[in-house]
Amino acid sequence: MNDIIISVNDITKKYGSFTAVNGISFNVKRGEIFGILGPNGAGKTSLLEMMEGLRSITAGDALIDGLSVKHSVNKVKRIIGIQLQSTGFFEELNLIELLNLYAGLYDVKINPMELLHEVELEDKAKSQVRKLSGGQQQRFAICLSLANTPKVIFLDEPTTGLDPQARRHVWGIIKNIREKGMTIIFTTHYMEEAENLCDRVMIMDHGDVIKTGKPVELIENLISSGFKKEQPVLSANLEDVFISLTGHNIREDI
Amino acid sequence: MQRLLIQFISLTSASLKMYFRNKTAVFFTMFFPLIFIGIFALISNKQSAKLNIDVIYNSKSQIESEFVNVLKNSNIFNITVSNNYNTSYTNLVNNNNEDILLNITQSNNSKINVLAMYDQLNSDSPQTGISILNSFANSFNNTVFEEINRTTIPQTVTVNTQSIQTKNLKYIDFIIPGIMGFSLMQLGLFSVAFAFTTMKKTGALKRLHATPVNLYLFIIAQSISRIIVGFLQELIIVLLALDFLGFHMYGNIFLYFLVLILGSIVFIGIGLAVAGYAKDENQAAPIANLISLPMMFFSGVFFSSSLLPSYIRNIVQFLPLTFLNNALRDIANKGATLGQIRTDLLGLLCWGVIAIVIAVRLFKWE
Repeated sequence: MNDIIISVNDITKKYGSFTAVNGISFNVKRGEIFGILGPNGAGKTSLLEMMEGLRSITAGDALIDGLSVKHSVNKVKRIIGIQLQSTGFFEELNLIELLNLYAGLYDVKINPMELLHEVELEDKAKSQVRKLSGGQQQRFAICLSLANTPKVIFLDEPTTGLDPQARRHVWGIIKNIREKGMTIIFTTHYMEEAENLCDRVMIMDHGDVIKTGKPVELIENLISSGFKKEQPVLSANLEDVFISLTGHNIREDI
Repeated sequence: MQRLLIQFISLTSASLKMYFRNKTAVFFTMFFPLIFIGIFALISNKQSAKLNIDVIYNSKSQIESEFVNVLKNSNIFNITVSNNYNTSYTNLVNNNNEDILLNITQSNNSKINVLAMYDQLNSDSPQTGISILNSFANSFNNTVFEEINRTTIPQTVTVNTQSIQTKNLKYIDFIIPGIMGFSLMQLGLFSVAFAFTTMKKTGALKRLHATPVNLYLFIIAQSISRIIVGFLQELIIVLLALDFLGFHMYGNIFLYFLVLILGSIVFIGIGLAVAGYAKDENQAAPIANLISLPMMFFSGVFFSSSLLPSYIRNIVQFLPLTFLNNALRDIANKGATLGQIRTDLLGLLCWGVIAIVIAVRLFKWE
């Protein structure tokens, strides 16, 4: 079995004269959690949406499990799962109905309760998406991306706008999904999230790749180059304080 | 193929479920047209105070003129002197605001025969008018008698009556096909335009695009669910109108519904085109109104477009709702067959093709 599941070659996205993604190439290994980091406007979402077949590719291509996004986009869509940065779902349907609808679109049989169990939303099975909290909505978006048991899952800023507990809850879910052998690509602009979750990260800015590597290696490289934090590193930060004050365990209602 | 069918069923059933869970939409689709019809049925029940009589003189003799003048001066009837028997007769049969047709013939110099034709089922009671007419004839005969001072009363005026079998069409027969066409237009145009722009804005469409679903399949599924909703709406209206409002269906009801489905497709197509162009509901609303309002007033929904000035009529005859309403009315009121409404159907088909081509070209997933 090929070790590389995603191979992006010189992919470019232009909007008119503006270059959002500037000829990027990289590989993702099977079973990896691969993080794409960068400030807003760095080209993360454009890159992701080209790989997902949602946006036309100006130049270059991406191969996902050997399938070209450019030439067989529908075959690619069958083996990937997607969570979009902001997703609306059909409002009048409940979670089970939505899962069944998407299973129908992929022509696969699913057990909705089992999928909801993965993201700990069994008790919301009959609720509509708009009745869920922000964290629950993101978990459901991830749940829906699992409907077709994809090989690769794309998560676009899955924790943006969530409070620390909800964010940690999503981290747990992402790790669980990886345990099942799926490859996960996700974007974020929270560095501690990338550090905590990712096997490798790629840092982007202005449509270019600045650096790719394991988080630990990147940090070590930085330190060995003589970098020093101005403040002594504490063994905890304010977020840890917040978490410990508001409850160690993930609250059920978030 | 089987995969397409499963995708299609999933999308259509989801779309129907969503539609029927939206209580406001259901209310407006199902009951709004009925409220409209109720209001217009009330207005149309207002009876005219005077009976309308068309008079045909065959020879404009003095006795004829005198008798008609007596009727005119009575102020009980609205008398119209008509020159064309066929036109007047058609008006009577089609209940075009004519209650009695008087055909006056002169049998010899001193006698005239008046044939009064009327519709027994006419709710404006022409029978009363006939009795009044008879009493006028008697007093006219008496006057003549006194004037010429004869010993026996000459039967100068003889009134004969003839009951005509008419179609008994009323305003309700005019308004029902109009309202049905109108509600299909509203359903297709607005519900589709709003649903799609909302899906576009929330990203629901984009998320759908991330699955291997085909654009055309998605549009067809959405359209079919709207056609089903429209069909139910029209079925309720027709059944209520036939049972309770005295609506007449002289043509084939299956043909009538076939035309309704075609109309549905046309307006869904236009709704999709609007949704393709508009970025959100705020843009969709004025565009949809701009399209629907002229048709609501000019395409013969509430009043016949034949009442419009000819330069407007020349334009509105090509609007999709005009084609739809004309076809529906011809079937219901005149019993028209498929061949007789082919021009209207052709017009609708053209609009359908234009709308769908624009819709597909303008469609965007986000």
